[in-house]
Amino acid sequence: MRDSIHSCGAGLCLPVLLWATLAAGDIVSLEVFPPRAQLDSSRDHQRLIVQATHADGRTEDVTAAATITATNPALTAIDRHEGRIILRPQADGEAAIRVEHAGHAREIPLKVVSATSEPPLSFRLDVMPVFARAGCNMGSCHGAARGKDGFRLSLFGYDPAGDYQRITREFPGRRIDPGAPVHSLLVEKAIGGVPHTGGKRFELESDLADRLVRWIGAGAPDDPGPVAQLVGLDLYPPTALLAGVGMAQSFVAVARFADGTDRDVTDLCWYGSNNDPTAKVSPAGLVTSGSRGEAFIMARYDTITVGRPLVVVPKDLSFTFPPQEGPTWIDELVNAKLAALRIAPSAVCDDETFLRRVTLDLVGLVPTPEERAAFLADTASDKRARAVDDLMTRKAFVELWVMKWAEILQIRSQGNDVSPKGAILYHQWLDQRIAANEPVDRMVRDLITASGGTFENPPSNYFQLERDTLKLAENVAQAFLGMRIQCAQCHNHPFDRWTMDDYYGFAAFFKQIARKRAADPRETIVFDSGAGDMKHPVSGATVTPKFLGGETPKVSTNDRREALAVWMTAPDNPYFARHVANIAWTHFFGRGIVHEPDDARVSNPPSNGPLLAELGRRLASSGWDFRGLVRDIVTSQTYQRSCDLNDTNKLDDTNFSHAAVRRIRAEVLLDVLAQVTDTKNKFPGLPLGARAVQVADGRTTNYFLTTFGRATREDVCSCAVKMDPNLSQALHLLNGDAANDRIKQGGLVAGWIKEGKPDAEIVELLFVRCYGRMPTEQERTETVAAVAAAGDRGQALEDVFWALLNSPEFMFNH
Amino acid sequence: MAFSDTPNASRAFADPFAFPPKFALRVLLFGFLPFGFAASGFAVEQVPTFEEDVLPVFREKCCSCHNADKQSGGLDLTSYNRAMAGGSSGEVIAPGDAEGSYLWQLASHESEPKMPPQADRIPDSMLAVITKWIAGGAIERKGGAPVAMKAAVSLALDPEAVLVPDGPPVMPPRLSLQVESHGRRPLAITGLAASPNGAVAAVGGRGQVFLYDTGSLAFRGVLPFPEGDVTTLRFSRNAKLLVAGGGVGGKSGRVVIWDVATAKRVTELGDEYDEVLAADISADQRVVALGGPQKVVRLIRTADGEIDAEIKKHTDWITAVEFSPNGRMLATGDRAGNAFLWETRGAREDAVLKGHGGGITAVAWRGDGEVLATASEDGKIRLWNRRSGEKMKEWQAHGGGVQGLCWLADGRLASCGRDKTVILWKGDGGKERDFPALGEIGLRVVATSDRQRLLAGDLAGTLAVFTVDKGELVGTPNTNPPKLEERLKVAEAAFNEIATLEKTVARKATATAGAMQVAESQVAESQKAVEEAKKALETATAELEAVKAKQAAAAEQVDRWKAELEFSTHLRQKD
Repeated sequence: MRDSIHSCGAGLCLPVLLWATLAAGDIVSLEVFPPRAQLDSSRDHQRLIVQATHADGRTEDVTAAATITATNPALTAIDRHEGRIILRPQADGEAAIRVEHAGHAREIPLKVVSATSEPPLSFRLDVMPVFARAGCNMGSCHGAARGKDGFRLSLFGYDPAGDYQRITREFPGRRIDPGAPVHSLLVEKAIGGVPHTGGKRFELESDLADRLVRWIGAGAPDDPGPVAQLVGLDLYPPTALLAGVGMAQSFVAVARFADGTDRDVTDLCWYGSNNDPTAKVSPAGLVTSGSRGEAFIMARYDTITVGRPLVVVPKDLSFTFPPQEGPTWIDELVNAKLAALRIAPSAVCDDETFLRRVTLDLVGLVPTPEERAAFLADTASDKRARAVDDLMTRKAFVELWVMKWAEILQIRSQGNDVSPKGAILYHQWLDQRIAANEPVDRMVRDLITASGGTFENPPSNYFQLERDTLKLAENVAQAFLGMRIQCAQCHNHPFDRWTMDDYYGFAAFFKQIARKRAADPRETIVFDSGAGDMKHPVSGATVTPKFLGGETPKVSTNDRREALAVWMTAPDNPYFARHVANIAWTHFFGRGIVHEPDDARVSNPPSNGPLLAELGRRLASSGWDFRGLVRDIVTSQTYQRSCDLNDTNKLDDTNFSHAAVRRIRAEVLLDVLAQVTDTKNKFPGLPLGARAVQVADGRTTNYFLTTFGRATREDVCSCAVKMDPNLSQALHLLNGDAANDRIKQGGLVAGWIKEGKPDAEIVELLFVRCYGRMPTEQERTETVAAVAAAGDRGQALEDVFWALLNSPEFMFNH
Repeated sequence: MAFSDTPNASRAFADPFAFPPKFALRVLLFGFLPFGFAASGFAVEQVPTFEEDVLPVFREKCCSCHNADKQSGGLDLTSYNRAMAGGSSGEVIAPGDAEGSYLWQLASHESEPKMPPQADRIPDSMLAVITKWIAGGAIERKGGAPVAMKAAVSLALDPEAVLVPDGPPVMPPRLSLQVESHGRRPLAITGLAASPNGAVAAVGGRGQVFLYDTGSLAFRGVLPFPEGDVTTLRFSRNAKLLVAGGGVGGKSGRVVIWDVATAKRVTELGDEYDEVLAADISADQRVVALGGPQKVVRLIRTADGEIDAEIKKHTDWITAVEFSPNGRMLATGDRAGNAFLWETRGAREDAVLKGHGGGITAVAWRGDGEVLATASEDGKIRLWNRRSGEKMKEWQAHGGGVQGLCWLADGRLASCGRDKTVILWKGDGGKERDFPALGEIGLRVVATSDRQRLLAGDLAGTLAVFTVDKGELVGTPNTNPPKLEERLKVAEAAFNEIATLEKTVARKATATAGAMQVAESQVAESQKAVEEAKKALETATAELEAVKAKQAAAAEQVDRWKAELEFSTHLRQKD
């Protein structure tokens, strides 16, 4: 892989930060979080953090060093314990809190109400968070379906009413003792006063224990009525850039409630980092920086999880983003993120590499020697764009995307539910849509609302392939919105925002689908019965259809799916367009901006949010022109980057700073094998010489495809396509019929020998066929020498062919 | 499936593939006209039969698994004989006793595993067919005779067979009234016992047992239990020993025995790693049975404290143990709903008491030892035949779960539960009386030896005492008595208050005495005045009477002449 080095041209574009006048250490701004403080009972408190931004962009937690004053000191007591700032109420009123540090100052408003009144502790608001924070209701502990050691809590607290009953009444007299609250078993176990399988969870002299003891001492009352609903969780600071190892940044979490109150829940959240080596977060919400990289710091309170990005760069790093030539809008968004991470992207790859990569990705084949020669001979500056346009007009381009969508739609025959005829009709329907470049939104809308016979209206097969209402809802969310909501079937999703209410509200859209036999016994008629209600498994109440994270639409009989399809495919739907764009992106980079592409959740954020948002926005605003999106992606420099790494991007595999080396997927690899050996494949129901990507029915079996991880389409998960290399793949290519028999069967080497071509030329032809490039001088001389030294010339050249087919350079796209 | 959602005919017909129309019609009949047109009044209620009525239900709902080929659970419901033969768990249909039939229990979702599996219960109309078919004697086909029902069990009690302690009542000596601890609220009452021969009851507390006189309801004193909270209490059958179990939750458990007459500790038994939740002593006082969250029932010899036997068959916390009155049998129950009968010697299993739909909360032997009662979180009380181990009777007692259960010496039962009620039952399960509701979940109920009173303890630690015959609340003794220092302080404060009052009153009395002297002199003067006035009055009275006599004479004259005038006027008019 010999990339040409592009010299820096005039088109400098990237936002290169210039710090001409300021020294790197100078503080340029000061922020105080949260941006306002409200205290609304004598028990309330609010922690503050102070973040300074330096001239070189790095941030610093200066909470301990900052000076703080209140314009009206009578209102609040400022607690400066252990480097923290905690405001506690003294008297009602409004004031400003002024924070000063290194010549900068910042003020935030403070409002104190009900400073002297202490409301009774609420089970749901004050006690339930203790179990989440201390881990009592985790799946491995009392949150398990059958509880632990005879005591069960609902997983992550999805059922407060049940938890109240179990704590206070399930085993009367054992778990709590309101007459001697400190000696309640619930408290004694948690503080390690008596042996506890889960060990000591907190100290007796802690806020958590205090909450339990006071609540039990008050008679362990249930909440008299509905409590204020949690509506949001704010996590501060919004972002941080730490320079060097061992730097600290504390976080503050504020929960907002529907009644307008808020609470400092910093001590009640669960904290996590998705990248511990870069940023470790303590149970108190204190992050400590580690090695260079990017981490996502998450906090969970009740049903809400939020995350904030945090970047760690080496201390005193001198970095200038390399100048780029003619970047596209995609490159600008990618490079902005790279610049923030202080990562320089790899250079653009050479023509041979590009042509092989783009041909494999767009049409699932390798360039023929003739195509390669023509491309290299072309000297026009827009030849890559033209090559892309040319490839995208081919039938193979359509077939490749039909295969991708067939996976998403899980097209396959299935027992009595979907006959092979149904599967083929379904596949044909898809093929026509993709070939006509029909807008994606219309295609998905037709699918989601499909009714009628599975032969007459093939997309209705979607509702035959999965007949279980809940699984169907899960599939739709995962396939078209990129979200896995399965967890919320039984409990509120711990690492995402989905609650059981959301889950059953979404599933309610599919509750009224009914099916009956058509005249042809192989056909089924799918229709909306207009009857049947979704029941909530905990409360037993009827659940009305509700969009995921959206509103509850007005639906009348028979239009539930219609309403859903309109919402899903609306240009302003926050998930659909981004998800479709991400599917395309994943195809070309081997990794999604959200990765896995169908696992978007709060705790798995996109590696480049602005990029994903813009891809989605452009897809929707272009009239859902999928081909345009593909063209934009493959003509970007980001797509054309070399695999060669530099010092700054060698650890990066999420920000697209270099090309990824990707194993060629099963169907394409089989087609390419057939292509380079000049042999033909045979699949059931397809003519001799058909390509593997054309196989309509996911149930079609083929040893090669199965070994190389082709999806059976039985599972909606994008992970069903296995891209990992494994031993049986290697053995199959080495010893199986895939390589050796095809070389013999194709007879290419024999033909060339008959034509009288010399060894060197045949070796060159083989390299060009398999690798899309000429052999290096060393490869040429050593291979020719080896062939010459062998006894049987034909056998030796075929061995060369075999060796090439078994090399990583052939099996991988790079 | 349409039918499981809305069991009415119109839905059924809307989907012709849901099930055969012939069947739909039958259900239609059952659904609208419950049984044999009884409602329209022209036919005797017809008992459903297997061939005509039940088999279609089985075919629709059960036979896809319980058929001759699959025989899930060894059960085939496709023919009468095979259905009656039962499955691998034994007979599933007990003719005449629907609720006692395993098939009915599963189909009605009263027991696990619910049938059909992972589906809604079969429609009420279908269940009603099965219920009435079994209750009617499981008739095979129209015109057939009911299967001989199992011999009716006798719940009669032979008073002679009841073991009653002999000798004079056993009462504790005078005890210290000083409590070991005093909490903000009383402990939930899980330990409660009444002496079988004496007017004394014991209530569990934190670090102590409280004794009360069941007649006067007076607090009789404290037996210290430094081992922890007392969670279970029991008098020995001869009333001479008091057995307390308890400990520290999650940490340690023990049983302590006192001699009631001397209030001396006799022994301490057991070394559990969690509190003892249930304990009892055998009639011969040779062994104590105890159990708790460790899921093992241990039989411990009172003589040397060594383990006599261990029962490890329970799968959840041991919640109830009781020896039979003669001590030869032991009944045990756990939180998962398992209940067993054991021979005390060697702890050999005697019977498995199957059918509880929730945890066992209490086991209690009738006085003659022939019948065992079990209480369960499923809300039911069940009676078991000691000899066969078979269920004799069951009834719904307390919604949400039965918690406490006891026999009266005359064969009646009392129970309490999550519905906060206390109920007296006849020996056959018929309800005899409700008592005033408790303030919280009722946990334990016991009867006094004279059968006159019931004591019930609840989750809030309140002890309510009722009369058995009238169902009246007699009182609620304080189950959280204050420390003596506290009582003394209160008494002193009251004394001081009264002393202050006495002073005020005394001052007032002195002042009043002075005023009285003044008043007395005034009285003397007044008396003189009274005498004079009296005389004056007498004179005046005499005068008045004289005048009155004159007046009367004058009036007589007036009347006379008025009459004369009237008469004369009358005469003139006549003329």
